[in-house]
Amino acid sequence: MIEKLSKQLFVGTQRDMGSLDGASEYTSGIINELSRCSMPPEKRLLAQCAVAAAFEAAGYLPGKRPLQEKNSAGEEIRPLCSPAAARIFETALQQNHIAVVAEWIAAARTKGIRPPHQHLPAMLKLGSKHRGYRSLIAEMAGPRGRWLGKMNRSWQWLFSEQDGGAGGDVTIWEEGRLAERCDFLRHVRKKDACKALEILREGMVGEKASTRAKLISVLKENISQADELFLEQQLKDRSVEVRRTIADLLSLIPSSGLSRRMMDRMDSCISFEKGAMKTTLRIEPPEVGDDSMKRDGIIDKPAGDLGARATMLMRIVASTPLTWWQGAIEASPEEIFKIIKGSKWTKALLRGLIHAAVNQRNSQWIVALLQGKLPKNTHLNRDELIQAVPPDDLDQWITRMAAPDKVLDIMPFIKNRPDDALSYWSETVSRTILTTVQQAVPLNPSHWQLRDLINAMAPRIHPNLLDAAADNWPVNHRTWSYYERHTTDYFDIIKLRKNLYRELPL
Amino acid sequence: MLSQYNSSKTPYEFNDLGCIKIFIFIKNNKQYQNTDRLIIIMNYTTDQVLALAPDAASIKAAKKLTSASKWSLMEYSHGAVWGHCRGSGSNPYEVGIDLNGPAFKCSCPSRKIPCKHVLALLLMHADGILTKASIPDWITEWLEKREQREQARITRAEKKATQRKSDPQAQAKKRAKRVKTMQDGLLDCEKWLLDIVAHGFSSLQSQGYSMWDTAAARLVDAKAPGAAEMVHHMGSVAAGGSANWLDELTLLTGRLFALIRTFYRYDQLSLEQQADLRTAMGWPMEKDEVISHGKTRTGTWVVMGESIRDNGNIREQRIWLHEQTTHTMALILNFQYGNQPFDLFMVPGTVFEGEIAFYPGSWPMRALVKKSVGNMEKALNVQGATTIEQALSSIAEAVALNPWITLFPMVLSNCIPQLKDDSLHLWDCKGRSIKINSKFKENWEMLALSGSKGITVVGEWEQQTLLPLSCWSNDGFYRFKTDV
Repeated sequence: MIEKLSKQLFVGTQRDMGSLDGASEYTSGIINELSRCSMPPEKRLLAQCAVAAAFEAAGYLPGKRPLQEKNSAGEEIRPLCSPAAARIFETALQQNHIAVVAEWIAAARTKGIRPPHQHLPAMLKLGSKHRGYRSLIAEMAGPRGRWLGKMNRSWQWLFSEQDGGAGGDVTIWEEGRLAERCDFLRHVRKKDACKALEILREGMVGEKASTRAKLISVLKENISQADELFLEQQLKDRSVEVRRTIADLLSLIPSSGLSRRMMDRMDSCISFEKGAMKTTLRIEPPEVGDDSMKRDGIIDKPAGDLGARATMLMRIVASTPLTWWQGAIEASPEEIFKIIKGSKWTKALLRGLIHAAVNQRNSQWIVALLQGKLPKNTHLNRDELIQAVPPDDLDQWITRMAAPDKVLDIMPFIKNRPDDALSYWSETVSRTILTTVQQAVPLNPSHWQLRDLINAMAPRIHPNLLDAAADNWPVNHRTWSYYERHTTDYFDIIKLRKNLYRELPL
Repeated sequence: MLSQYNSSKTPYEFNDLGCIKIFIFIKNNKQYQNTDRLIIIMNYTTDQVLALAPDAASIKAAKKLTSASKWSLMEYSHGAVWGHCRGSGSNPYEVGIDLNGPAFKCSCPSRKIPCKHVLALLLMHADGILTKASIPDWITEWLEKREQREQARITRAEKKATQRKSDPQAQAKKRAKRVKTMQDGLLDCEKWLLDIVAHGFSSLQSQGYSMWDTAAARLVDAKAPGAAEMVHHMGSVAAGGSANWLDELTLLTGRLFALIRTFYRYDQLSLEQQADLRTAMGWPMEKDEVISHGKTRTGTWVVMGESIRDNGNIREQRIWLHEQTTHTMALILNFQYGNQPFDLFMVPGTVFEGEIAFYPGSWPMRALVKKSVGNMEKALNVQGATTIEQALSSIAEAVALNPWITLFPMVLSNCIPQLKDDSLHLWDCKGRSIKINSKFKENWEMLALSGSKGITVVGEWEQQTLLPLSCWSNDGFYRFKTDV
């Protein structure tokens, strides 16, 4: 009926489009009566439109279509959190304090409770964006979250996180992007290291070199002697990039064939002679690279500003377990730096040592590199070095590094966020950093890096020190007004975390 | 100032509502006769303070001032908060807040309301770091001036009401004059409409939007702003270019014509029908008329949901109430200019005992809260229509009585949301489904709350779609984001 009326209205009453067939049984009586009324055609048409409008408003009833059969989400095992805890979670989400959101979820996991269902989509979106939180969110999503995840392609990671070890979503391995495939492999590796090797062996065939290198690097997770045979076999790969990646991995296994070969090469290149007053260093890098060296990723070609021999020396040092140096000379890393200083091969040696320290995550060498007096032209990526420090060694390291007059030295450490939702520091580390920073404020007026550091450390202070984190600032010092203006995020987060632990105590 | 407690009720705190503290006073005003003046003092939580802010920049600026070092004075008393904040000048800014209202006062040059100083002081008050003290003279003077202005407004309203009652003939004459003006304007509009119909809507496409603007302006001059709004809406549909613009315009045109023709018979209609027409035309009753002619209902009212719409310079707040025993629905309408904050007294998901006065009409919906007593409690689930057919039947009954309403409340129990063709629908137990309005932004949240199990959804039904405002699920009450 409306279509007929519309057509008539479109062309105007000066053209007659015929009678209104198809009027509904409810309106046909009125429509027909109006058709018989003697009134101008415009008024008649508008009156008929008025009837149609009234019927549309009152007469709408959707037809019956069966609800698509879908399994309902299973029953929740965890009870709902308290209203106060729910409000804290909601506030953290609204204010976009992601670290606090993750912390809340982790605390809820410990307490065996769950967040309200209306926040599940926000949690799943968080997991999509931040890979580091996926395993936690996958665990806490519960049956309702998994039910939701099945309906949205961007939440499919939920299932690879949960089922990856038991032969879960192989589709990701077969069809996903490189990063997704690495995540899948990493997850399999955590659950079953051998299975990951099998998957990798088949999956690398036909891939390009950079992909092969990325996939192999996942084996760093849980690397052990059992991986040596596979890795040695892969050393026949035609790509130098792949072979160097394998060399990095094998150097983590001190008893491996490659490690022994590298140590032999080091013995032939470098020797120390202890004199009465000082120790002399003798360095003779190889003149040319042989097949064995090429297989182990050492090519006799210049790289950057290093010549061919220096490059080979650097590669050998980079792939040698750092334990060799303690065997060659009983000296600390700082003393070794002093010894190698002044040699024409110093640059190559230091580059190799930096690579080895980061790859082997040796905190003693890393700290020595960060604090030691190195030649001025030594390029140090402080972020990379600090991120390589194992979390367990941080307590020892931070107490040595932190000082109010060198507070920015710890900046990379604070900005580093490990892939772990429980990323607050130990009490010792928190206390050290907090004290250092609070003492640094009076010494650094209007320092934008320090203010950024303060904001960055808010989510990482141990829960037992949140009161101290809120107080103890030099509020009466003249420098404080600048920091007060620019650290509202810090105090917001501290307050939110205090409320969180009041509701969900450790 | 605010001197009389309802002595049987003492102030209280409800922690399970998010620490909302509401002190409600009923002040008997003899001049108001049957009316009690509703005075509400709120102690705001942090979230509520943040909701008052005109924009995100104000919140950020306010947080930077939430430090005792910025304030040489930070005090509160019952019903008021005040302080002195250091600014760039030599004298501090004087900041005052009347918690009954609320109303704000600050000597800073900012044009934002509330400014960052007011927000900062309220945030610190919510954190409980202000000192309780006696109200100083400069705040007392301000509050007294506010009270005087409020009394003057009440007196003017009462005077107007008295004049209406004392000289009904003059009022009737005035009303008749207005009706005549409107009818003349609507007659012109009808002629314009008939001319369009004669030539056909195909001619509209070559004309600009100005013809609609001109027609609407004439209706505003004729004191028919409701009809003017309909013409504006028709213009936007004609120019919008949507796939079914013609059908939609057909129905709108029919509706406008019906409104015009009915208004010609204004004097022959009942009081309720006249009230319906006046509302549709944008000529609402005065509040005292509501109180004297409108029906009142006392009961237990659940605040079901709230939506806020931006209509240019004016923002409209719609709060839906549901009476638990009789299942009566009521609509509280508030308007604010620009970024002025709305009253936060009625929080969705709460229930209160009170008396509501309805605006007269064939199907009374819009109402005023005449009296509210007792505590604001958390509302348990409500019972709505069990099927879509039942809900739409109620709407059909409403349309039969008042054909001018286009927006209806709908409460649907035990319904299941499901995605269909990338849009969300709600199914009832009989296999019928209704579409969710495309402006709704929380599809996933609703699905998460349901988990393919029945939930109770409260929403606004308009143009054959539902805009959900809130719902009850196993996790309790949840209020959807509804700023559209």
